[in-house]
Amino acid sequence: MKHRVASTEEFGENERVIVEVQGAEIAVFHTDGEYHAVLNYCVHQSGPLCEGPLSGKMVADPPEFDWRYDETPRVVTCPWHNWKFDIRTGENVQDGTYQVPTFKTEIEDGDVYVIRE
Amino acid sequence: MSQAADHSLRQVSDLDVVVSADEHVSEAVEDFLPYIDEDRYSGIKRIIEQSEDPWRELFSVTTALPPFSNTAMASNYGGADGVMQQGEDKLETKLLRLDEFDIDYGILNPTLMVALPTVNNRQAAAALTQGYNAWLYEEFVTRSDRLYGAIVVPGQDPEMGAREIRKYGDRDGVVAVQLGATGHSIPVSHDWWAPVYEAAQEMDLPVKYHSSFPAIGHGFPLQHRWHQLFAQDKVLAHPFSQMWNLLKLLYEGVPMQYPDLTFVIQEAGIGWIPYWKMRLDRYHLGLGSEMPMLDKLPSKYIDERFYFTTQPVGHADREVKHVAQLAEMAGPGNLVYAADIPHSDFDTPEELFNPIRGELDDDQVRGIMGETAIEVFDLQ
Repeated sequence: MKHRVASTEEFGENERVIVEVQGAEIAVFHTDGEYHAVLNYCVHQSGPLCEGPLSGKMVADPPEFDWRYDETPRVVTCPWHNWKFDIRTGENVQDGTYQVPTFKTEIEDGDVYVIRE
Repeated sequence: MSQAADHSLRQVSDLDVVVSADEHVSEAVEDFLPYIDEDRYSGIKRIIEQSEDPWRELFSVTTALPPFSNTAMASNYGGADGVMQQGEDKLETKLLRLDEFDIDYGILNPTLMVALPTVNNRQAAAALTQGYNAWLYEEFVTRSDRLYGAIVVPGQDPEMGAREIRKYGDRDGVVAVQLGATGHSIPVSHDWWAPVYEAAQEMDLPVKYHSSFPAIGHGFPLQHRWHQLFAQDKVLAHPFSQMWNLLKLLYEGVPMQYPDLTFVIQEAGIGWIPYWKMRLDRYHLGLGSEMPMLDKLPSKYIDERFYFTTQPVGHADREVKHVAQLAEMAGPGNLVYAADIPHSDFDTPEELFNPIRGELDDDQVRGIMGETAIEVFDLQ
């Protein structure tokens, strides 16, 4: 099923719109021309995941493992306990075996749609 | 715990092999003094040999009360032909003790030298280390195919420790590196220790961390300052040391820096492990941006590359099933039995075997009681 979220003009850069789709709250994030839809539900303790900040993330690569901040805004942090998820994959940043549902999006005639199958 | 798996083990003698992954020698400085290299350490050796009370004059050991006062030490027990007596703690006695408790193989740790972090003088620490390693190797490791040795390294001089690792690392019967766990001036997660970790990884030897009540004054000075009892030193030193070390090692990414290294935590029992794993994971998930080098939960690193010697299992009153439950939660594949003979909180094989047999799968029991240690330490 295809559900209209909002017009593209309603999305500022790195902003989100949260809508209810068939009883489920889904957030659509707009960043760098892309739209990513994530269930507004943290798998940790059922918190409102997508109401938390969207940010980059800290990375560290071998061999030095020095901290580096990747500013690409792709991580949403749950406002309850700070669990962080990648909005593109739904995977937890610390352990990818934890995952929140994500949904496909489409742009049609200036409107953003989320596909819930 | 499996309900349908094989549960045919009934007694320790049903096991093919029992390994104690933490056996002790009861060395005195005078035992290994002759092994301290006269050329390299001639100056400090002259000072070491003048010490009348090495525990306090070379090491800086203090306890709240005299250790084990008014207490019958196992190591003073004269029965059974004196098998437990510390004063006879030589090769033959160690082998008799293994026989007494149906243990096939033992991996040796020191007693005095677990307090090595309390030695102030760097040269003394290095000389004591060199002498101890040489003595242990010559007097025990080369003379028995049932006793294995660990190379002690001094936190005061990691480069010297690395040289010791490379000197002994490929010799028969040398199966690990012993860093010690309590009271180091510089935590075991710090880059200061890189020479030791690099050498251990190069020589394919697990690194062990044996905690120590004699070093509690250095490890936890505030708590020790307020302890009124030796028993408080004893109870606190081991788990506090290991909780801190595990926290530091994992959150600062040491397993990532040394991807081929195996870690062995010793002398804190098993009850704290599930609690600490859950706590480490919980705060990694919440505060993981401070530890971006970790690419999975801390508990997964533990599952893959950390092992824990089981002694002292702890007293479960009449709820012995709790021991098996804790072992299950800690990770049966990560536990290796240890007796800790001749210390007075030693565990016979039955202390662990009886509660877990019939509760864990037979394969898991066999692993904990010996087979996992054979694999981890590559016992030949």
